[in-house]
Amino acid sequence: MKSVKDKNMQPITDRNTYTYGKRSLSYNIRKRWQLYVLLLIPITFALIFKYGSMFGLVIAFKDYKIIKGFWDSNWVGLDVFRKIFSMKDFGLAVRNTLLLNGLTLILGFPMPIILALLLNEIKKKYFKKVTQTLLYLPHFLSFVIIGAIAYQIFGLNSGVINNLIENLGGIRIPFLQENSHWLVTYIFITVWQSMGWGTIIYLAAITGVNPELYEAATVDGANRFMRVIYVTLPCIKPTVVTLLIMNLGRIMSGSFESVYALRNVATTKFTTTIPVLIYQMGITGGKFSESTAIGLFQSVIALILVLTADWIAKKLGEEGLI
Amino acid sequence: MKRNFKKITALCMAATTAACLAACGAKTSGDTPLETSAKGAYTDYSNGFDTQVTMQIPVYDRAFEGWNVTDNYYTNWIQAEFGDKYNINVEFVAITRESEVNDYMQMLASGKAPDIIFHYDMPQMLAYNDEEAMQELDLDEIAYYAPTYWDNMGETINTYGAVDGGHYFFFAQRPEAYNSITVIRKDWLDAVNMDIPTSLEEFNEVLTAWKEAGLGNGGLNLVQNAFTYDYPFRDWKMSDEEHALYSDLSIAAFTWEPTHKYLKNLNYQYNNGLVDTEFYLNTDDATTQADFVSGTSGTYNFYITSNTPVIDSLLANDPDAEIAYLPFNALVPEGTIPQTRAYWPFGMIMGINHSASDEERAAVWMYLEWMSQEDNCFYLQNGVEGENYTLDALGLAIKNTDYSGEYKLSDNNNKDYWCLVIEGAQYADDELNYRANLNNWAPKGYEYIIEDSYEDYFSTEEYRRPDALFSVVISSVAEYKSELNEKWKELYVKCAMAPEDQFESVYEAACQEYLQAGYQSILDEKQAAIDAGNYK
Repeated sequence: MKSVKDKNMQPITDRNTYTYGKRSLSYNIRKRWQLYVLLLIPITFALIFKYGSMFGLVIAFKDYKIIKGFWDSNWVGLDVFRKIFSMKDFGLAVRNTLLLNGLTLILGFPMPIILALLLNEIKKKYFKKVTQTLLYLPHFLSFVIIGAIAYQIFGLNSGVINNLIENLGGIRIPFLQENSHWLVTYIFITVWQSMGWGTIIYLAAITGVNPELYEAATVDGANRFMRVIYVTLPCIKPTVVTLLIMNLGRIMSGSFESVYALRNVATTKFTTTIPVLIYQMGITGGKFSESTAIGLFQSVIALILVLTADWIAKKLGEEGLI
Repeated sequence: MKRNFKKITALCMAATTAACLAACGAKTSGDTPLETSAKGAYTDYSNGFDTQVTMQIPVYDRAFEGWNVTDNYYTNWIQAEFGDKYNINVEFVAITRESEVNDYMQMLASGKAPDIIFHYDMPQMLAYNDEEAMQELDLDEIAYYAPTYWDNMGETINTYGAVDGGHYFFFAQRPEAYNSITVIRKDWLDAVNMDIPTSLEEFNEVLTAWKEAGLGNGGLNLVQNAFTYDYPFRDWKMSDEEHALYSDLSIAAFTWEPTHKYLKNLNYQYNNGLVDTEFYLNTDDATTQADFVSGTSGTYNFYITSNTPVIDSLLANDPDAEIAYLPFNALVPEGTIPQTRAYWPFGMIMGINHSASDEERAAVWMYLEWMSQEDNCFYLQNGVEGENYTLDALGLAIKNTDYSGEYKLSDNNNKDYWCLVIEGAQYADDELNYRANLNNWAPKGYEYIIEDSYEDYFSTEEYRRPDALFSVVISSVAEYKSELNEKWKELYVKCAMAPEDQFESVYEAACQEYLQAGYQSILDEKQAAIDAGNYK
């Protein structure tokens, strides 16, 4: 692999590319202004929605009153953080967030890779397209809809599956209405919802694999399975690592909608997560300082996780993200 | 930008007004009575505002099918009859009924809240006030711009509208209302040869019989936000102190004995499958209504109105269905007095948005005055004569329930517009009022439901009691309310679903958790206020 990589890096020393890289920024902007204009769109988006909103973080250090606004509310130092750290639900929320997202990552991360590898092996074009479309479909469904359908399907008293189980002589299973069952059902539904969409990037990466490598492997006597293991997988490894790092960054946040749409008050053991807590405190309770403080805490931990994962990836010889 | 401009304009105008007032005061001091001087200070807008004023009025959006709360025949009529006359642009702002506090908080935070801040319950209004969302009121100003409204409500405003020494709240009238009722499937009772239950024990026997006969369960929904569940389990009569300490519509008194009794009964009902065992999923009225209408459950609690779709839907599913009124004492254990919550002697509680300008505030008073006029209120309540209703010999509006044309009223007879001045339709005397209520509340052929409700309501009148009203802000209520409401749901469902033999230990642990989540702080603060005599 190392040699392939080195070989790929050769063009960088090519004279044209080298000098192109050395040109001044203003030259490049003048020469390729259309591309820079296109770049402006995502940059503006990030500036407004990602950086612009950051000044609101000051209310984590203030006794925020909605009428006084961000600037006129009184400073309270770290009081808000002391308060949230002493909350019983806060520890629970951190644990649950890590647990749910950790499990989703462990079980959900390999699924798109496996699916992509399988899809790549399908030779019938139409069958492949139909399968892909069906797999992408859940991604486009809102979790509000998925939640409602989940209760229709997995509900204890009237769910389709439980009706079936009972009719077959079995005992009804509280898929969503008992804590540990809820956890399993939740993981199952979230993995199902996201796995199809996740295959897109891997399929794109697989398309970039040099066909000569497959030919060489075939000549060497590799069967289909061995080609997947020894050619495809190593070639998409950088993509896998990049996505893993990005997913690790989300392990502290996770999806609010998925938990909120699938939770009910009878199964709260695993459903008090950080996003849910932020929603309850901020949107329902109107405690904007507290929910901002929790959000800030969450972001800082997420940043640390990303940097750590990136550092480890680089130590392992991968390119990393930053 | 517009808001800032409005603020700057308001500031300039306030400064100008203050300067004028100072000047007037200097000129007239000594020779004019103070009251006249104050009244003279108000600008007369009876011929309309020179420049158009935009007044934003909140209106509950109850998601009635085919009804646009902010733009319909009646909102246009208000604009034409009131707005255009005084050069006021009346804008209606929809407030989701199910999540009104969220809506208000977000609008207040973004500076887009309407000129009136309202809520049906005092603790939440105090919480808004604690956020400094409202401005202090000048009562003379209300009397000046809205004399009829002031005649009706002045005394109530004087008595209940003050907090921490300043006047912030004004109110709508609350006539007696007895249309929050529970109905029971009479045909199911007949099927098991039982009468309408008169005690909780009998009610549970009925539910057991229904279950054994395979008819259905007793329904049930998730108790949240408004906590009146424990009234049937309260002792009569408890001390004022105990009542003030625990009885609170906005915070469940989890550790109080009536709650313990309520949960014990709920636990029994749950474990024996007498109620919907998935009651915690029934988080809104639509789900409990669907269960009742589809014949899954045999009881349903709701605000009945003459045009309610519930009965028609029920009959569509089961043409043989019969319903009867379920009296208060059917939920009360034998030997206990059937108590219910009395409302405070006012309906909607309102305040003026802190950012409303003097003109906007004057427009609000003028709007209340306009709506306090009998003809205007009557039109909003009843619609167009000959279309929505006909007048009978006594002058009562008889609803044309089949009407579905242009002048159609909302499903609750437009109440969300006229609730700013009164909570129910009113006529000159009690008899007429009763007849009017029958017309407004009883679907055709179901007058007996309202008759029974009327009888039950007034026969238990002496056992109705409003929550104590604290004259100081109990700040811990605002602080812990939302967390405790969440905690309540989690813990009471846990108690309800616990195996019967483990109920006491689960309840005990839940009490501790609830106290730690903030309830202890509330009890301490309330106790201090009670000891200081700051309640009535």
